[in-house]
Amino acid sequence: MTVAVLATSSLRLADMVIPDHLARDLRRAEEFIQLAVVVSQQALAAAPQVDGHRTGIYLGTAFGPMECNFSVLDDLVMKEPISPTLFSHSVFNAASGYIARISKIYGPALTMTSYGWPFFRALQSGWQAIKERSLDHALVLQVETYSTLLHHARTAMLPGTSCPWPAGATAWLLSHNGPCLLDYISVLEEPCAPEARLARQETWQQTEACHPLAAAEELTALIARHHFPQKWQAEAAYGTVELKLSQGEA
Amino acid sequence: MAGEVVIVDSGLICATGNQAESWHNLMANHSSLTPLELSNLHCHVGRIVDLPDEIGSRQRLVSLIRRGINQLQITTGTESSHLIVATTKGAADEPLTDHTKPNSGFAWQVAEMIAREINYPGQRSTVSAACASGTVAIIQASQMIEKGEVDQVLVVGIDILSRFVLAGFSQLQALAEGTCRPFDKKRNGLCLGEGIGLLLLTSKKRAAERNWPALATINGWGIACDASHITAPCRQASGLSTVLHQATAGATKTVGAINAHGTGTIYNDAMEITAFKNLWGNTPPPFHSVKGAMGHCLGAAGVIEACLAVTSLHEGKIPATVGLHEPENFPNQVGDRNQDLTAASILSCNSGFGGINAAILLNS
Repeated sequence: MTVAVLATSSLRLADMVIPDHLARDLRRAEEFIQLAVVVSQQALAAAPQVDGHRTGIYLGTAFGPMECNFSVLDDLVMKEPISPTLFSHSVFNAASGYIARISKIYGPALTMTSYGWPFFRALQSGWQAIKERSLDHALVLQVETYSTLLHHARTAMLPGTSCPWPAGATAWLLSHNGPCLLDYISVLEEPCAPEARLARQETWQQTEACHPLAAAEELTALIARHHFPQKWQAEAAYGTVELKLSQGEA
Repeated sequence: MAGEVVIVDSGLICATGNQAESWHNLMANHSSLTPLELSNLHCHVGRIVDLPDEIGSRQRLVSLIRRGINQLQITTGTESSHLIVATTKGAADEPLTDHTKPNSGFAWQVAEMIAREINYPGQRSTVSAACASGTVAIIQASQMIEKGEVDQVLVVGIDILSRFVLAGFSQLQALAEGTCRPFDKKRNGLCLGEGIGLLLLTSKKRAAERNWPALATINGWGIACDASHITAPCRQASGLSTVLHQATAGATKTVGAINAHGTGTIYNDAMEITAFKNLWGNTPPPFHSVKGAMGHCLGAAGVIEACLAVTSLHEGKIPATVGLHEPENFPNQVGDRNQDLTAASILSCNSGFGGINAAILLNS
């Protein structure tokens, strides 16, 4: 069974504008959840008639809602009562829950935490579900917001590092038909030193990148330009990803 | 396709002991919940009393991993092995307890910690599905094996008590006054626990080749989302009803008993009863919850409960629901007494924050 990328969207936190129709739903949400919901809505806009019972959510993240977790810890340190809302949002799959509720998606909602290739881990799971016809649509996304503490850890571990890590999110909507076919995906993660994970030196097609959303953003941009590489391979100290894309039906 | 998925090894550590001790305590209707006083928080928890380290700390997590691994007979893997870890928070309090070293023990680091401890080869991943994480991890493992993607998967569910989680559930007004009473008329909340559950899954063919015992077969599963609320379950039990339907192929597969989520909160237990009624009407299979004995072990719960379901299949019984005195519904199906399985199969289900629900059906 063919698997197609029906729609894609990428969004940086710095550019995020919450649409009016989501403002009420997201008024108490953290940035991690806001990014997840807004980017998902953008991708889902391409398929307004999705059957929520035949749609799944596959969210990959390297660090999850880290700042939210540290905010809870801050309250504990200060001996202040923890906000129940903040606590419930500190759970890694809260973003998937928000997407499911707002977009009426009743299928599997999986959140996968992966240091190495979070987007591609999620993509592989969504690809498999469409390929097997267990779902008609799979919403695949990566969301990263990081934290001040993580920034300090990077600076301490990698003095002189200058690559910024922009917070953002990327979403793909997979289906059986679409302008780009995802013919194959392989994800291999290798153990590596913590420094290598924080350095995030990734290379693909003579390109180098150094932030956790880079590979997903790059592929999303390629697809937006209708450029579908027959073989796309990314390599890093923490493993390898290989994809095969081809032209589908518009 | 590699075909049937079997469990070939299992082990657990929680407040009630290891798998054999926990079974013995459950059959004796014994609760291991004890009072905990922490700043201005007073509650009962399922604490592993002889773990030496401070709650919420990385060292406590490591001690529990080491103890859990010792419960397994088979810890070898191949390059085609996979490790799936189910955890909600890892060592959530570590940033509070040790300011001198780089923090570790976060949820996203636990798989690596476990793999290092046993030198486990192959890929590793972490499932974050709140209190349904353990069952979701078992389902992911089953799918990988069924498709022939990997030879074997070690599924580890682990969570420890922490100030972070205790304070959070306290603020949600979800903690029980005293010990929890799953499915009881007078239930008023949950008790948190801690533990590790480990299951080794492979194909029936590979188990036979290795002379590994097939302790149970995974005969069905389901995952679905309520899409209604982040912390509260759906009153109509839409998500859980869907997964029970999926796991049992619309109640066409025989279920000898249910190891329910049964947290002891008013809304969770009512939601589960609704789901059972939706699928089986007024005659659901016998069911029970283990959380009145060991507390709610969060991300580890699904794996620990699956381990106990394996013992249930072996013994042909489900233990009493510790803490239950007066069932709100189905007094013939749930109670403070041990019951016989009505068939050689047991359904284990969990639900979590984010509206996630998951179930597996195990056969002997």
